[in-house]
Amino acid sequence: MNKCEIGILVVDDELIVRESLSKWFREDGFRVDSAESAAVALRKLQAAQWNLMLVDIKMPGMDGIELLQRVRQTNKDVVVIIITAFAAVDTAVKALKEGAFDYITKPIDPDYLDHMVEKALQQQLLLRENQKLKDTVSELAGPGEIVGESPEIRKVMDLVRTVAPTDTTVMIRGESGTGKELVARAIHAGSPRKYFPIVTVNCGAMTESLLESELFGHERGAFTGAQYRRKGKVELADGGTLFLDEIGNIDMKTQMDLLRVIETKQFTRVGGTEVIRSDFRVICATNRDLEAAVREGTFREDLYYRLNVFTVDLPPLRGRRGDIAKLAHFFLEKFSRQMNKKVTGFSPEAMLALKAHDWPGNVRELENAIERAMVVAEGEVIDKAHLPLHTVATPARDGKRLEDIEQRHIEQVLRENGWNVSRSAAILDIDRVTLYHKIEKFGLKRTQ
Amino acid sequence: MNAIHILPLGGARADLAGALSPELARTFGAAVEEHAWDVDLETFYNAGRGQYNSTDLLVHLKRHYAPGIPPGARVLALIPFDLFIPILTYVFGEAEVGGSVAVVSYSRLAPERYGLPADDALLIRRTLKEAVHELGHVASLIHCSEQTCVMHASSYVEEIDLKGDSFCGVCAADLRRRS
Repeated sequence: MNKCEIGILVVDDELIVRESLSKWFREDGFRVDSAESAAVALRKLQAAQWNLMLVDIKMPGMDGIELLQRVRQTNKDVVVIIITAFAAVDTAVKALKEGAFDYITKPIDPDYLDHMVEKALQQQLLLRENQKLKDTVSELAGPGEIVGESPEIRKVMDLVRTVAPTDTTVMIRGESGTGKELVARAIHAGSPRKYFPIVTVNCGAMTESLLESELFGHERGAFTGAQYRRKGKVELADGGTLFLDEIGNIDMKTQMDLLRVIETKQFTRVGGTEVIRSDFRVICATNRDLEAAVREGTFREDLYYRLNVFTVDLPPLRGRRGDIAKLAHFFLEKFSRQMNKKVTGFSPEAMLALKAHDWPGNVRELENAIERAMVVAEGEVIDKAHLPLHTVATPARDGKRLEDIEQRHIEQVLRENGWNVSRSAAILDIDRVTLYHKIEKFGLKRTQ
Repeated sequence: MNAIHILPLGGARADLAGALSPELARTFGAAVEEHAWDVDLETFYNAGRGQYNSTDLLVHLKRHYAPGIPPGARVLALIPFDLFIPILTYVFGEAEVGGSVAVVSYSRLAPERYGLPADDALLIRRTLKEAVHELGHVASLIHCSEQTCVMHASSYVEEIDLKGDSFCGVCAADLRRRS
């Protein structure tokens, strides 16, 4: 910032002081003005932007301390340096408590004055930069990508706004592809923890031992291949948010470990003895019916109640068809920018097809469909032919494909075992994670 | 080119003024004339501080000396006494920014003030830098962030020693534009 852009307001009832200081700072190239009283200073503060105020503590009428208090009520940004006639410690301390940057005694050592002003302006610059960065982070991390105006998604946004500023544990439920991670990020972005990381753990994609190491980290030599100490996601989330995706897919031992760390905020790394503390908020997501899992005995009841404090249910895309057009345009613009292609819209037939489709893969499927269409589209408009809907629509089954037989067999085993996933997985001779993936893939649902 | 009048006041060393003249003439491209002026400096003395009020002295010069010089001419008073402006503990000099008068004191520029052996060459260099600095203000120049530029602000003699006696490129261009 050029010095001529930095404004200094000198407030003193003595003309000679105002003139001397004004001249001194003008020679430095600052924009300078002066006020003979606190009342005039307040008026000038309203009329223009000031970076720094030099305020005499002793003035008739409103004194420097009272002026400082008034300034702080309306303007947190301006730096105030108090000028005292002699080093009265009690008054100086009071000024500092009221938010003055520092105080100087008359007559002022010119070198001291220059240094103090420089220091004060540097601090102000850092504070402004810090605020600007925070604003940028908020803007980048904000719930900008939750798109839609349907009553269903508005309800979700309301819930996000309500729960975000609290430290409450949140459970996000919804089908695959409905945007559960996006909602988790929006909750984190709206919380006081937003300047710390949100750390995601995909619980469904790991084996028991890998998940344990992923969550809690490990010491060097804890197991074969552990050549270095590694911090776990719980430790990395210190100060921020731990997002546990696909929470319904974790094994019983890790459920117990997780319950303990959520309750105590303490843990030890795998192979370690040191107790580590971590202050984190938990947000979890699942596409499973956890209550059923509790009834079946595959999910701990105590952990379920610990996690299910505040629930956000995400509607499937077919349940908020009113948002399809808006989402489609949102992704169109996103991929236009990314691919540097000038595609401006959809043909009426393409839009009708988008609205008519069932979207079993939800918003993720829509996003992928638009991305593919953008790749193949040659003109400025996406046509129905560009959309890969025929490949994702539920195919007419003749029942003879290997996949059809596999689906029927899995359905039958699940039915025979009352949808007990662990027992069914054992009978099918596959692990539970694989079975969950198959259930998701075939869109199997328990029927009463 | 408009002349610069040097006024040694209060028994200021004539040889010092004489040493400044050719350097100021070269730097500002102006004729430099030494003049005597009878003024009672005690009027500006503050017994409580043991210093002379430079602001009051400047006002006096502006009112009583400047009207007698040709339009555009500048005045540099040189005094041996310590100067102050009321809010600050001391100043090396003061100028009317964009005006016609300036004052420089060499009281704090002499090495012997700091317990060091007298060094006339050093005293002349320091005084010249402060004279050029204050006349730069008279020409409307402000302080410069370039540490070697004569318009860099100095609160201690060490800072004066660190800077040069000429203008940096930016200040020189600014000076030409304003001349």
